[in-house]
Amino acid sequence: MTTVTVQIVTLLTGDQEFDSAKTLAAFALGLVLFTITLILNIVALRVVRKYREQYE
Amino acid sequence: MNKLKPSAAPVAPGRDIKTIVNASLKRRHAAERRFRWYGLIAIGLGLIFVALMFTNIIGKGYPAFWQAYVQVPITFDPAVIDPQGNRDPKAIETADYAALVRAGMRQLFPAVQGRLELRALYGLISSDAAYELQRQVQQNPALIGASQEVWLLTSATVDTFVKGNIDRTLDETERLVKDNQIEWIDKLLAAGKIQKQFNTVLFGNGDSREPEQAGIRGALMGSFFTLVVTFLLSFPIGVATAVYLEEFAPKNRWTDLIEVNINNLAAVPSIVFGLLGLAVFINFFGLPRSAPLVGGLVLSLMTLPVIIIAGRAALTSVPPSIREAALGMGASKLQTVGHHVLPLAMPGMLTGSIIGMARALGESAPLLMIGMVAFIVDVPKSFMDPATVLPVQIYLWSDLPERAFVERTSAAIMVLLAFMILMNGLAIVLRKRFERRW
Amino acid sequence: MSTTAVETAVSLDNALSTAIGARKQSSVEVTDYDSRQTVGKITVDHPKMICREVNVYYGEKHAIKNVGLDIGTNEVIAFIGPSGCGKSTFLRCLNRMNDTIPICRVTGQIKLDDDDVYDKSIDVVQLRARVGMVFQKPNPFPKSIYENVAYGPRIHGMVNNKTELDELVRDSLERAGLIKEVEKRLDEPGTSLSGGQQQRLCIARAIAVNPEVILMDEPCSALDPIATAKIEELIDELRENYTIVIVTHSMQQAARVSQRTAYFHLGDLIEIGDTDQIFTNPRHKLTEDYITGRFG
Repeated sequence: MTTVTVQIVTLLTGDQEFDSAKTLAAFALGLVLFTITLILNIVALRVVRKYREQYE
Repeated sequence: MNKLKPSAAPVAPGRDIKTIVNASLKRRHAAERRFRWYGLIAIGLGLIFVALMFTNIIGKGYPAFWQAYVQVPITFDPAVIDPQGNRDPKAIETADYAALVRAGMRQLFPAVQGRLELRALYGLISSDAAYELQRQVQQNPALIGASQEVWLLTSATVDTFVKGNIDRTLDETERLVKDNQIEWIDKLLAAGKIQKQFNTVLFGNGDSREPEQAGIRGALMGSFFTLVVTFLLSFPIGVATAVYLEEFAPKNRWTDLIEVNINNLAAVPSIVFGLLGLAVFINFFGLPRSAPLVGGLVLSLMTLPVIIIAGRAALTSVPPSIREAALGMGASKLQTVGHHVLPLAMPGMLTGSIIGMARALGESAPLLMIGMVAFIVDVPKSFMDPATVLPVQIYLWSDLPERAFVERTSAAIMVLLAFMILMNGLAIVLRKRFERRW
Repeated sequence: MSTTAVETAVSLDNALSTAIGARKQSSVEVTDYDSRQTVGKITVDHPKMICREVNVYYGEKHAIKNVGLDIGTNEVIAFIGPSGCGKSTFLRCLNRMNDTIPICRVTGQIKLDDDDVYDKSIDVVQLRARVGMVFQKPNPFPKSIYENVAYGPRIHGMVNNKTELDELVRDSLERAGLIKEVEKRLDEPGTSLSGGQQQRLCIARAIAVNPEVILMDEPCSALDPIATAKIEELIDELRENYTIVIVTHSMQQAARVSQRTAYFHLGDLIEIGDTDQIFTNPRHKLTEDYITGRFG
């Protein structure tokens, strides 16, 4: 079993040209991670805003 | 006038408020008791696991702080060290100290003959011993010509054996320590010539292929330089940003967007920052790989959102009455924030920053991306020297099979944990000390 | 037994109203509750501040409706009225503290000695040095007593050296009637004082910058009666050198300290005049209802 982070590390530790397929794949994985985090955060923000009690 | 008497409340006869409440009382108190127990059990479980983890790590790492040294009679033969007799530093530096070590070993066990036997005998000493003699002579040239007992570092296998981690009962072909070596070690132990001393090598040396010579100094210095860069970059920028966003920025869609982004960045996995560092700092700007400067830049990007969020929370907690009082006296916005709000919010900001820095100290994933994963022997001396950091060092050592590296890994983990506890403790102390009552 | 006590109270109240009513029969001119025209003379001979056609909006809500009045030099004028009538809002317009509220919009003319307060060329920092403010809940800075009073003069550059500053601090504390209680402990934090002392410290802080007008927003509502009495005494003394505008919930306080009184009701200025006249011979029915305790 592996995780996205481990895969990124595996793809990038080693010498290769900067625009080779492996490097680009690693960046693509990073982009996927970022997007998922962003979506989760936006959902969380919506939920919080909807249920926030107005104290004052 | 009758409204004041309780018995006149409009409920069924015989059911006044006292009996009604009593009926639910038992259930409510029982629920509360159960909840308290759940809480205690949860805390207990947590504490047990923490204790287990600490016992495991300390148990494995504690032996690493002691190292086996053997006392060898060394004759600082001038013919070997200083053949010209003129104390030429070059000559002293390049002399064959290994030969002196071998001579000393032969002196300890004059009965040993034959190439294979002698090789086994010399194998008891670490290859560092020669450098140790060189260092001593360079520091004190008066040693040349003298004869002394010198404590020399044993090899890793001897050290492991002395600590009892090699099974004597195994067949010789499966053992790292041979029978003759065991015989000599036992003799030396009996004579008190093998002793465990405090392992200064661990803190004095950089990384090495030989476990007995491997130290965390390189990683410590690397971590130090990296954290210095991180702090110098993230703290001022983070505080200024928090102040600007909270006090001066207009509240519109753009600032909303910025807030969402900062909250998001605080949660993004740290490896993404490593990718950013790789693409921007190393590829675009061409900064050297493995340099603490680059590591610091990446980590400060990671710590900035944390500091900004903590800073904004601290600023919000300052009551508006203070701001109004200052503004009412004719202080400008900047003066109000600078003289009154910021000093009151500073403890909260400091606490958030220290916690952010503690997190940065323990990060390894983003630093792997920018190359701080190489095998680096020299202790870094500046921000641009190739370096590694402590978590990465632990990661590298954890892969190596030698028993000596296993205990060193745990020792390094202990050092890292000690720093984390220190930093978090500092944050708590600061917070307690500066807690203000308005 | 309780029945008779209440009955007596009710009959007493009726008798009082009748008595007042009997006297007032002659003074109330405006009996129409819906009339919002200001009754009384809004001008004075030597005005310090002149306000005309002031309107304040909180977003959509029209909080202050076309209010105009003069504030005379070296007088104490009280703003009274029921909760939510806008007296604090109007007060905060005078030193532009409403600027800190984004949804608040102010129109009209407010002049301090010929300077339009809302003019673009006026620096609000300078304005607030000329028009000081004391708030409802005492809010000394969490610094030493000395620092609290010294802060204003220091940021405005009013003194040249430490000796002058010391003198100014002592002078302000003396005029606020606080010097005897704190002269031995000027380095202690301002928050270590009692409520009444803190409020007097805030007054000292306000007068240290030598303002021309002092605005007080219900300064005694958070204090006990003895502290309140001390501050009312202080207001009387301060009148010699400053113009004071005080918002108060207590009609008795307004009667005690002010020379002129303005009665606000739901954003309108209903009546304005000499304090004596307002409380004994009000000319608007709403004023009469308020001072006789029928509401508010």
